[in-house]
Parts: sequence; C-alpha cells; structure tokens
Amino acid sequence: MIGVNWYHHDFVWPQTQAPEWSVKVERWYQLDAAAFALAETFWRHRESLTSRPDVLFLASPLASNPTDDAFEASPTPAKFVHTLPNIRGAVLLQLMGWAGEVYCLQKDPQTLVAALSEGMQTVRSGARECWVVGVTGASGIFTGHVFRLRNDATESDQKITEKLAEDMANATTRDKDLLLWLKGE
Amino acid sequence: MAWIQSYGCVSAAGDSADELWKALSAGRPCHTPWLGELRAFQFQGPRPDTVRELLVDKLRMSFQGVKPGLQGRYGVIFASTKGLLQDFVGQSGHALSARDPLTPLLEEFVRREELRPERSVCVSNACSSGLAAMALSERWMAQGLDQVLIIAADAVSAFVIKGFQALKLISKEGPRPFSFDRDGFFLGEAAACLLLSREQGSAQVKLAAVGLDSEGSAVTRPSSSGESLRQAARRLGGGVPDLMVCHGTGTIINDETEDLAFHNFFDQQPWVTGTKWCVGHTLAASGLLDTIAGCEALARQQAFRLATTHTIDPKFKGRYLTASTELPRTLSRVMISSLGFGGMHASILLEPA
Repeated sequence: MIGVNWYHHDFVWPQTQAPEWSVKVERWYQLDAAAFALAETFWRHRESLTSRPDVLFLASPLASNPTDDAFEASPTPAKFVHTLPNIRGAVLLQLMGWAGEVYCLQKDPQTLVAALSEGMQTVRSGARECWVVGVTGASGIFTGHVFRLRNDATESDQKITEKLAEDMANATTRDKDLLLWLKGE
Repeated sequence: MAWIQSYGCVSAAGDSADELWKALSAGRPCHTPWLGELRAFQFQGPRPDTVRELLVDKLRMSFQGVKPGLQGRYGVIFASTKGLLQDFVGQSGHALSARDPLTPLLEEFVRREELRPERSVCVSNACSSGLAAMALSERWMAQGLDQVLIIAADAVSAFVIKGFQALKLISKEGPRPFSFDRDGFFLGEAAACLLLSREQGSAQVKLAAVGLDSEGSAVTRPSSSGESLRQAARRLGGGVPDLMVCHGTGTIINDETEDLAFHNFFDQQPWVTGTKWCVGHTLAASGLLDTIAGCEALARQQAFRLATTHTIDPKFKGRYLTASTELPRTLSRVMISSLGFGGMHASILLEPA
C-alpha cells in the first residue's frame, strides 16, 4: 500500500530578507524563484521530512521560462545557469544533505501529474520511498511542493493518496486540476 | 540490464552513425564557421525557420533505421536542454507561455511518426540528460514496458552561445580535451535515437549497467572531489571497462574532475577517449552520441583517439588515447561517463551481446 504526504509553502517573489538557510548556501541571493521555493519549502517542513528518498523526481512545469526571459533581458553567468530547469534542485539537495538518483521531468500541461505518476510506479515496483518536488505559480506568487511517496501507508494522508491513485489511472488529469483539488477549490 | 536494439544519429559528422564513426576513427574534427568568427559543429544542409522544425527533421532522419525495430509495449523519452529556446528569444510572453519548450517537440515527433507510446516524458538533466534517460528507461522496462525509444537533440543557438561565453567555457582555438593547454569546447548540434529493449532479439550490444548520481554541492561545475561521479560509476557494479568514453569537454574543471574521479577507480586503468573534439559538445545529445560511438567501437573492435590532443596535462594520471597513442586491439567493455550542471552525473557500461 502506497502512502503519500504533501508538504507545501506559498510565498511571494522576490524575497527581500535572507532565509534561515542562507548561511548554508553560497550566494543564495542569486537563486531564481524556483530554486528558492524548493529550498524554502523543504526547510519549513524539515522536521517532518527526516527520511530520504531512493529516487527524486523534479517536476519542472514551464521549465525555466521566466528565468530564460530574465537572462535574455540581462545576460549574466548567474542567470544563465538557472536557465537549466534541473539547477533548481541543486540547493534542495544541499539542504537535504543527500545525493542520489534525480530525474528532472517536463510534460506540460501534466508535468507535476507525470512526475507523481513516475513516483507512484517507482514505489509500486519496489522502491522504499520517492519524492516528487516542484514549483507552481506565476506573476510573483509561487507554491513549492514536496510529495513524499512511501511503500508504507502509516502516517500518510489517505485522501491525497486516493486522489493521486485515481489521477494516475486517468491520463487526462492536468496539473491545474490537481492543484485546484489540493487547494480545496 | 537492457539491450541496445538499434540507433541512429545526425551530427556535424554526417547523417548516420557510420559517418560519425568515420570522422572519429579518421581523427577529423567537423566544425564550421558560425556567426562569422565563432566556430561550432553544425548540422549540414539547409535549415528550416524554427529550431523545432530543424530538430524534428533531424530526429526523424536519425529514426529511419530504428523505426522497424519498434514493437510491443513501448515508451518514448525526449532528452534535451536549451537549443529550442532560440525559437522564443525576442518573443514577448515566453515567460508567460503555458508550456515548457520540450513537450511540443516530443508530441510533434510522435504525431509525425504515428507512434503510440504507452508512456512519454521529457528528461532535462542538463548535459547528462541522454544517460539519465537510459536510467529511466531501465525503470520503465522493469515496470513492464518491452521497449523504450530515447530521442535526444539540441541545436547551437545564440542563446546557448551567449550563456557559455558568459561562463568563459567556449574555446578560442578548438577543443583539446585533457590537454595541458585546453581552453574549453565548441558547441555542437546533434539528433540521436536509441532503442532499448528487455529482450535481446538481434541486439549486438548489451547495456550492462546504468548508474546515476546527483548532488548539489555546485551549480556550474561537477563535484570537486569527483565523489558523485565515482558514485555513479560505482552503481555500475564490478565490471571493469577497457575503454572509457569520457564526457571530456576540454574545460579546465571538467577534465580535472574526470581524471581525479577515475584515474585510480579501477584496478586496471582503462583507456580514455571522447567524442567532443570531433562533433562538439552537443549538450543533451552528447550522451547518446558517446553511447553510439561506444557501440560502434565494440562492434568493430576498434577504439578511437582524442585526435586533437597531443600532450596530456602533466597533472593527469589517466591513460589517454592521444593523437599518437597506439590503439588497443580488443575491447570487451566500454564505459560512458556524462556530467551536467547542477551536479548531475551518470555512467553506463556496454558489453558485446
């Protein structure tokens, strides 16, 4: 039986104050919104997120479109590196103190749903635990997500677990539908 | 473990794996002028208006010889990085676009080739995307698929050149991987397809193992200790290669990291070579090109050199196949190594069937 927990954090970008984890990350102020969101979301839930995954799926809806535009407008090396969507995961891995198998996935408009499907199938086929992480939002308001999927339903959120199992069976579910459901709208 | 049923590629060396092999074995760099004084390794022939059209056309060319082998329940993975961005540069509203740039290309390829994959997704693990797609393919086949088709493509664009110039990674004189006077790489374009299957069928090469490791210690360079790269190789199990096709970009840090990671990793030192001096750094496609070069080397029982490298950096301890090194006479295992920004590392091991 698979168990799922969802950890999330809503925030406004840009941030003006140094985050609590700034001492652990070189030049945190150069991060883009997506990298900041993943780090901040993990940090806020770090006392719950004490285990570590076998595999981490990094869902990148919209890839790095906003950062691509920022680089075009004002090209700097710091902005260029964030035009690769996998880069947003690097600071998260630092804060987790973890290294391992990571896949940066895109399948808009189903990127988050596709990554969750990968996570579910990976746990079903024998992995102990997978994380699916991602950032959604636009126009300065973002949500960071960490979904923890385990082969143990103890302490999991039964409602979300059932919803994801249903969505994975339905190939047409889009990220926006899942997000509306998660936010209770 | 999986089997490499077939493959195809289009690169600056030409429109087939055979053309790639001819350029590698002849020691012939294939770069051309690009934007005047800059040089790059470009696709030959006329270019359509958009990068998406260009890459779909080239992917379809590389797929011609692969398509007849597609059967059973299969998935498709598209590996790419930033080439497609050029279609959006200068267009207002890219940031507000409702979609990532890669998925529409994957959908168009699938539609035009009339494919019906059970699963499909885009993998964007920077320059290790191609080998990461192989690791994901192994998972998909363990979960029930018979085959996975990996397609990988990237194009040289002003956007990408501008970024790598900002990082000072573009060579002035031409790539000389592992050389004492190396100064970076030339960018390259490529499209490649690789068909993996659970059953051997008529496959001549086995994908004996895949190892993937990502760590976050650095954003624009590999782990300085080489540990994550070694960890990816460790996940291959005990098989010792006699030839390694290294990532070998020719940048100071990449080559140092690979030498540090591998020079004493194996009991017996493998010969080290690479492809980027010949066809450029083709970003997400580079892992598949290196794999195809490795398959050809195994099939032909012939290695190839780092033909533009004459004097190895004296700090390095690996066993490099420079322009003047005598080639080994037999090959039993070939390892491919791949690195990407964001601490992405991957390795695979190839063996004859």
